[in-house]
Amino acid sequence: METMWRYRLSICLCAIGLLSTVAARAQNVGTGRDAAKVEFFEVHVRPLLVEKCGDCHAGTADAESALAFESRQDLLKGGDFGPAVLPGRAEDSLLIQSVKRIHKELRMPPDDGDALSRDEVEILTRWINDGAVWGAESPASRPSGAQTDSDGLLLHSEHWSLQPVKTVEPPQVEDERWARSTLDRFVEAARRNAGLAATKRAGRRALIRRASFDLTGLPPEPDDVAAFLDDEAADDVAFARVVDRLLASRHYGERQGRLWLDVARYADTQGDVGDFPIPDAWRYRNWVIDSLNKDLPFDQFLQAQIAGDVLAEEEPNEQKARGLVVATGFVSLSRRFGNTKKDDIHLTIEDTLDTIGRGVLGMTLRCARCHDHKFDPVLMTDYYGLYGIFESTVYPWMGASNQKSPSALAPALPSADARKQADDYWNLISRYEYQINNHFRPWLKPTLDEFKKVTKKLADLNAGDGSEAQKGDTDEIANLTKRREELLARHDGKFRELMLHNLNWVKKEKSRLAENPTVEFVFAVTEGKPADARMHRRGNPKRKGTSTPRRFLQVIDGADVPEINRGSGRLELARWLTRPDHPLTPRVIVNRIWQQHFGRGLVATPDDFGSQGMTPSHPELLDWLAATFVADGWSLKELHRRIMLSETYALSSDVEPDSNSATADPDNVYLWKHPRRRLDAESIRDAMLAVSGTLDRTQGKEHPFKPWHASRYSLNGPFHEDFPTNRRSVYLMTQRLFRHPFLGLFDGPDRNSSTSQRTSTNVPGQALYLMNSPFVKEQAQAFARRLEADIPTNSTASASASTETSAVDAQRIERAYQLAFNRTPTPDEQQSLLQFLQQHREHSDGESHDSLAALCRVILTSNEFFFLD
Amino acid sequence: MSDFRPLKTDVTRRRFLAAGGASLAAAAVGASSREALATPVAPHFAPQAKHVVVLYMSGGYSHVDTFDPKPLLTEKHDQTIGSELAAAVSGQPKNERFLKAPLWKFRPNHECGTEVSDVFPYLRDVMHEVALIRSMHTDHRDHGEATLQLHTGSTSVATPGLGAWLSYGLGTFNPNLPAHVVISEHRPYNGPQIWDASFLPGVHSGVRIHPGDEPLPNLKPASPRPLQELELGLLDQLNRKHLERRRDDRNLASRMKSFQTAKGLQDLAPQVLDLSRESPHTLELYGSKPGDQTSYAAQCLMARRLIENGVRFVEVIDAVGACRDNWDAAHRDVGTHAKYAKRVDQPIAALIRDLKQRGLFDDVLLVFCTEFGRSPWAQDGKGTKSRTHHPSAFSCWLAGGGIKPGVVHGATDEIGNYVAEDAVHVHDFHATILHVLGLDHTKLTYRYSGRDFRLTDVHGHIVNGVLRNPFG
Repeated sequence: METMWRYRLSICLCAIGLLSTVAARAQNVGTGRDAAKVEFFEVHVRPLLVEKCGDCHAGTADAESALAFESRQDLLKGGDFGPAVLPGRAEDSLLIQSVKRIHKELRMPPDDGDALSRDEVEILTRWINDGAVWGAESPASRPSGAQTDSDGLLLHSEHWSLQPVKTVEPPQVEDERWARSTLDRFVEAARRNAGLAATKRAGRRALIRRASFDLTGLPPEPDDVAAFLDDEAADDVAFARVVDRLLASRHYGERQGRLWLDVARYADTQGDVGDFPIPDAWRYRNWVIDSLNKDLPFDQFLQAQIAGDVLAEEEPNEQKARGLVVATGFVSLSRRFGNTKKDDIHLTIEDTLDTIGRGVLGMTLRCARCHDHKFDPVLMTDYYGLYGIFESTVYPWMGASNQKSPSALAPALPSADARKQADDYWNLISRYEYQINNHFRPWLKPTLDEFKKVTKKLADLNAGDGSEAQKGDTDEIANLTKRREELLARHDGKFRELMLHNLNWVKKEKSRLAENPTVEFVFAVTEGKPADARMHRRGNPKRKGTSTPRRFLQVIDGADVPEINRGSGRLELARWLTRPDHPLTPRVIVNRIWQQHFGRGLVATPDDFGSQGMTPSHPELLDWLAATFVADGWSLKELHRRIMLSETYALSSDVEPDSNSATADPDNVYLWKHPRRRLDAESIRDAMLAVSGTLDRTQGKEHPFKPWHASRYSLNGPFHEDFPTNRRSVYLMTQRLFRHPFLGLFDGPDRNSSTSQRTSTNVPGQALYLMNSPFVKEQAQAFARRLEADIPTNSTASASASTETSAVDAQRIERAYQLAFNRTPTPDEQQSLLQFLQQHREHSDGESHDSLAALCRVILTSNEFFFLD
Repeated sequence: MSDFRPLKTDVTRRRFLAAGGASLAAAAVGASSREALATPVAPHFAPQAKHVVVLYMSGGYSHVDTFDPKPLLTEKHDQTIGSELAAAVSGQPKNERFLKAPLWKFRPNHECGTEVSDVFPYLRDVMHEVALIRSMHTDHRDHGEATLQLHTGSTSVATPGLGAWLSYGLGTFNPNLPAHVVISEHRPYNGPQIWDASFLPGVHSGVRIHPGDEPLPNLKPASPRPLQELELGLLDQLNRKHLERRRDDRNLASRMKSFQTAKGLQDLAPQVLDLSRESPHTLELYGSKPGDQTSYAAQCLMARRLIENGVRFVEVIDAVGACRDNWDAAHRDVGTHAKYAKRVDQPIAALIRDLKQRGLFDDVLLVFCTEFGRSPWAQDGKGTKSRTHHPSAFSCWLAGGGIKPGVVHGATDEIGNYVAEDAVHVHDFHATILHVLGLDHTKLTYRYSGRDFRLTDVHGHIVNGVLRNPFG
């Protein structure tokens, strides 16, 4: 894949200002001490700077560094890190710190072999301490405004993912087995090309298990399996019925929602040092689940998540409007950092852009935070163009370690009035919070003390009877009153209520407000003051560069800066992302869905469609799927159906012992079989609960967090809870700072950044958990009780007690296999399990060890339970 | 690897393990990949140490009261050096800085002359075994961020820590024990984030040991051993049957293997952590007593025993609750250092002596560190007892394999405010530790979310001054 855009790395080998001859400069030299200093500069310093620094610090627009070495002024002005030279203060000067290699980041020249000698450092030190006198300044100054940003550059790329989705004619395939579905024709053609032959079709039992876990994350019920096995229709017709039933199941949204929440790096806490809980996060989670169940078209699904609050203002249906606001959880649940609300906001926005970048576009946008992307056509101006959109967006907070009240929560139903009310409400709470947090500060004490004194005096004077004795007091009263107002206005008037009333009053008032919100709030974003962002030089928000207009990706849009007419630009961004002709969004989502079904995407790096990612194994199929998906009205359910009803999806995962394909294509890139996969963390837990009969299938709602005003979290005491529930795992409370004991162990999603693929490890810690944890023990016991209830002891009439036991055991084993594996045990297995029960009972030696539960634990922890054929 | 020194134990291969037979063993070979199990991996070049023990002092000890003598502070006690350059907390006024004399007298080590204060008398006696760095500096002035950086290099985004990177880069010597163990009685700043594998495969996450009754989660067998063995036997049988038609799939065998390892861990870990096997003489050396399973001395002994049994990386975290009860002396009396020093002083010195007498000292890199230093001035005004957080200068030390003993590297200015010579940033510290273990910090990378990550990000220079074989 050739990338044609211009790299802006070029090396300027001549530093014009520095190379001008000494003689030419010497003419302007003054006399006396200055002359000596200039001579010192010309003889010792300039040659050193030319030799060691000039190549890179050339001062031209395309120089490697913003710092130029062409004049004294250049050095005083400095580069990305501030002034290079502080005349008279060599030790504090970056130039000295970097050549002495004691600065954290700057070690100059960069190559250790070029390091300055002790004498050379001494020369520079002396020169700076002597005032850093320069020779004659260069007469011609450079044109100003030469920046390291990429103004005026037009990007063009021939990278495959940035080309429009092509209209592809599906290849012709002879074989009847592959000719029926267009998808199969693409796959079979590629398979044939690679000289591979597909394996046989999977049996119905394997298929229904595969489809159930894929679409709902749960094992099929024995009755559903029986119905499918008994269905006399042709295989594909019968299977289509299964797929339709599963797509209509409300568990579909839970499963598919979980996978989208991976992309959205969903969590119920903020991720700052106190890991403040977000009591409303569940609303976003459930909105995702419900929307997928309703098969909300993916373009609308995305638009709502980027700009739902803006769309809600035009939405007449109140229910829908509320949903749209909540949907912006995709943005508002960006990770928070540190212990304040403002200091690390650039990292929060980076998280938003990374999630949109990798999650929606398949581009590593964040790489352009500190410099133009090294590999892909994404410039710093692209990054800060998008950054401006989110800098113009207000992120809500549940609190921070040193500002414990929430702020900027959004009204559940947006309107100008509601927003105003909301702002006033949170501002007042913050104000009281500030007073409570700072009332004891030593710097405040003098003000408080004086205020008390003045107030007391005033009260005393006013308490007088107004007789002539107090005539002289009028002036004093006026003075004191004036003084009192001054004191109230001190510290920007931030302590007014504390002085007028007292700490207790402020606390009570804050509590009263906290318990009686004036508007209904949700944890959603709102529109802020629209403004373009200034770039952060080298990604450092303290070093602001030039401003860059809010825009999307130049490589896709060309020179046109999109019109952002009102507000932050999120609505325009949402529409841009979901343009039907967008080269990335449809490809990225169909690839994600493909990955769900086949373990590996057509592009094996689902979050990186750039030049560092993998190229598609079936480029034409990818484009055909993307085009059809958009043409279908962005329907995800249709996409699932199209994939799952293919013959390719129905392939067996068994490998024939004489298969050449296994050696020719061990990674199954060409889909000659179905890949066997270990269940992911949620499916393991949900399947255990389902099989043992303990699964609570109701939809989860809010978590039992304490109300924010009844809790205080900080670095020393971060929020840490584990709210147990028997609901599906998607409803478990997810913390950013702490892994969930089960999900963390079994390779659950990253809670801190967008997850594109689940890994699957087999670590001893997992085995130890399965052997010894209370959770698995409880599930095994519940499973045993379920079997006992289904097959009671007295259900078989039998001659002797022992044959009866044995017959009951056999039936229970049969039932256990149907529930856990959806099949009948083989006679061998029956035998082994019966023998196990007998031995276990003997070993238990009369003690009441639960032998059936032990058997259940083995089943629940076996490879057959954990892996999907 | 021949370096695994097995403990003399009564662990026998249980029946179920033997039952697998040749076919299972064959299937399992190759399955224990880097992703699945932390098996030994070749370093980039010859390592100078094989294990790491990090002794982390949570809260930030004061360098000017411990390892960095500044007589001028005593001389100019209570004199001002002007107000703070920036307010410690935004929105608050800048405080005036009155210098504060160290609370303890400094004296030289008998051999190398390195001066250490009376707060660490035992450590002072072993300074000739240690390379002391007096020129550490870090990026952030808050505990959370600085603790995260000391462990992971990052002050903000959670990335894998040193132990996770070493586990990933080098693996373990003992498949029955994790490569990366953290002994932490209390939750440190940032909790498990500092030993989390983050984006590295989960096997590299630190396994946390709580000194006491249940040192590891799920270690106690859920059923009596004979019954558990029956269960594991049946599990193995069913899994082997399942494997028959699926021999091509390595993950299945790998998962079967993980149960064997777990059983090994379940049986072995309690023995490794059982200090009743230590001689009275050894206990005395560390300042521990029979029956003690929780003191810092006991934790140091556990660290030694873990290393002896092939664990690659052990960190002992001295987090005594939160700021209110650890080395943090912000708005608190620096005098409380005495209490914390007393906990760790003798045990750490004993660990050095013990490793030496067992011939292990050269195999182990000992790292003594904290997240930042303390200000040379009193935090709360003239004559007050506290010192504030101080990221611009602090002291840490290294000892053992590959480390030049008895040297002092770097220096701070005359009051210990800034680094004046040979600055060692946390990234440099990390680069050096990896170097000693035979890893090039620029090459130990992991591709995640579209780019290669390193422990040292784009920074890091090896501190040759503390190495026995610099530039080697």
